[in-house]
Amino acid sequence: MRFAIIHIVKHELVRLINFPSSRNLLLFLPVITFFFLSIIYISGGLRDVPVAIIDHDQTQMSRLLSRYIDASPLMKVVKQPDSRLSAKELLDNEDAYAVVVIPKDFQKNIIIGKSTPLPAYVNASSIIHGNLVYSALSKVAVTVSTGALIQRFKEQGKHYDQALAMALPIKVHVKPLYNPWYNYLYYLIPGLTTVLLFMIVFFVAARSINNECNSGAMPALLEMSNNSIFNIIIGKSIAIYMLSMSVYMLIIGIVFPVFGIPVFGSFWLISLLFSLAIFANIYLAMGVSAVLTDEVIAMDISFFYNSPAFVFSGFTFPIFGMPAFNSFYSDLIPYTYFLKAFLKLYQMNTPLHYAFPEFKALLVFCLVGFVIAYAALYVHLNKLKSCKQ
Amino acid sequence: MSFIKDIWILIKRELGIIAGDGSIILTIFGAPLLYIFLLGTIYMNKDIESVNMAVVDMDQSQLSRTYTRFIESSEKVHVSHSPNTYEEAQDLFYRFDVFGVLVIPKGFEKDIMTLKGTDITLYLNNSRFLMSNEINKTVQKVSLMLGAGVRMKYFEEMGSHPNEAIEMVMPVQPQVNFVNNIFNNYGYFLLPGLLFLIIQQTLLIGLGESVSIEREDNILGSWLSPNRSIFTAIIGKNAFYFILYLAYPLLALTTIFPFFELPVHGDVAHLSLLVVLFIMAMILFTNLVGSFFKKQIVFMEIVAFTSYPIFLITGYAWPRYALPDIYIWFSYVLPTTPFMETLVKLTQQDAAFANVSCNYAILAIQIVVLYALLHWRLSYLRKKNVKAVSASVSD
Repeated sequence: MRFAIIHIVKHELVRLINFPSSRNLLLFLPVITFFFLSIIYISGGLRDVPVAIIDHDQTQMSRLLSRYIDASPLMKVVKQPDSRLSAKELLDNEDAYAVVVIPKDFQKNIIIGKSTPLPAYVNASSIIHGNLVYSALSKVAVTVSTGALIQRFKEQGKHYDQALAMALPIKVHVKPLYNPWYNYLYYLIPGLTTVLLFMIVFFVAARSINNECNSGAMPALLEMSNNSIFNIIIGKSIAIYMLSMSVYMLIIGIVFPVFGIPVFGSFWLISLLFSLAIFANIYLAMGVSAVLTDEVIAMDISFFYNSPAFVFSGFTFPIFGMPAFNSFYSDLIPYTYFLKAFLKLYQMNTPLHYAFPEFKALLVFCLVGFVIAYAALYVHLNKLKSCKQ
Repeated sequence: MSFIKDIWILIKRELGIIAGDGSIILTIFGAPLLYIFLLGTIYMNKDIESVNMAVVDMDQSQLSRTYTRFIESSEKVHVSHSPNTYEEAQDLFYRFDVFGVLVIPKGFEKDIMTLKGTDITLYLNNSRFLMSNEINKTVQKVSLMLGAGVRMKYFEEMGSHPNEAIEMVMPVQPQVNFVNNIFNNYGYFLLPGLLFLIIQQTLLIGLGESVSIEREDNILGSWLSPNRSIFTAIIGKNAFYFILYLAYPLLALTTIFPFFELPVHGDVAHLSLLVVLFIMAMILFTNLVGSFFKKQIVFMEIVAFTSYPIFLITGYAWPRYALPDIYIWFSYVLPTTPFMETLVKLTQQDAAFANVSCNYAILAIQIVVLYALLHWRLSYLRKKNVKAVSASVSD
């Protein structure tokens, strides 16, 4: 048969479309989960973290400080309770995630040029609040300090510019690149949707071989392939790739535009990267499928292997911060390499050659998966032939 | 048949289902331990150290070198590269060798010493927040510190005593104290939630598979036999899981939390009650969801994708006030939401019972509602099964 691979592709496409499991995985699940996850972060970032202020000073300056805190886009003063209430009580009751305590003589100390502490208590059981309030409060304190210093230097006869330069001798201009808005939607959704895409691809491919044998379709498939394991693997992988790319298009073509997630890199380079990563996952999963004839166990292994991929990829917690064993495990997951190259190409818009190391690694995964699938099918050839008979 | 004897028969029956299914064995015995080890140890160091950054020092003065040394001596940032130009630094950026580039301009020292002030630029790779935040924090701190040093020198030159000068350099000094996670680090924040999520998800998948097997293998009749009450059937099927999944939290709180140096405050009785209510609610929830699946593998395929959404809407990783209202309501359908919130409050904040009693009530209500729904669902399945059996007999 001259066009065996094309026949296998057609056969696999029909099988996948008619197979309820792959229909669920490739159609319903991505639509539901991608939108569900994106809506979680629809607000983009945290604004107006509830803050309480215990004002022991009750002066013009302490009230000004309260207004500064409230004016910060990151914090919102929700309570200015009785000064007898302790910060712990307020945090425990979850009235606020942070409590700022303005000490007595706050204004007096500033006027006489005495340093005054500004204690704040932040509920850091959620690290997001910890970092956010820390940064916002530091900014407010610097603003108030700078204002007081400028006033002092002006009183000493300095011009405003001179006074400003003395109050703030080093001005740091921060240029956050690639996600300057600190938007969590732009930060997390590309990572979450892509990790789920590869999990879906893996799940679909993990039943591509064993299901044929279990359903008794293998003899016909073998015949269709000219008894060529190579044709079976290539034909099936092309069919799974074609359907997987529709999920990729859902991410890039619908989810990203609908939620306004910017894509800075070239569409073609990004598509090339996805193609390679999809093939890497397909071949690895076909390896699992060829080795394990029990479909449920093959799915279990796929699940155990893939579900920690996001955490191990270094996306939220860097790989260099992990112990050696975990860092080694992260090297064994294709998503780790994909993510690095993805961030480079889609977000940083780097020239292609910066992603070459990751492309090479993904090619190695393709090769390893292919060899495992081929070898397992070869070893089971007799079994396959008995299926055929 | 006595109630106890019937329960014992069902427990033995369930153990038989488990023993005959490699997937359930892997999920309920292998996965919790494997995941707790694999994922738990990721955060063993709790926090990151040595985030790499580059400094482009165009001034090459004593002050610019001191400034760079101050950054280098900070706890979490490491000046790993000193490129000559921003273009060179960009290459390091693109390779992910550094996550921040600080450009110190020419004339840095002179402008500071002549009290003209200077501008420096910090470029951050914001594709990953954790690293860029650490660099930003460090550079801001060091800049303020150096600025304070400059002012102190000025005040001293103006005749102030050093002690007075120290008082004057920074009129307002923020002192941020982190409560409940005193080092504000990632491991303390994520690990407790992650460990219990692993326990929950393995229960959900393992037990759910077992419930769907009842329909797939057509053995529903022996579970929901008309001779036994639905209550007995529920207790009998789930007793083993209840005991096993009480053991995992116990292991987590007594061994794994101390191993990872996670705090376990809170009253033992309150914690125990919380865990019991949570496991009961999760078991009922899983039975209910599992009863809608006719195939074990389909259940597994679908539920495997629920870990991220469940974790993200419980308010653990992303605060609830930032969620859309509909998600907040939906999150209360899941036992995970009140459980996670209470777990954090008890173990980390040592909260008083009054502050968490509402969540205990929510869990109790969930148990009642889930039991009622499950009872109704299983009664329906039993009737359907009896009809199907009598139809096949008459055929």
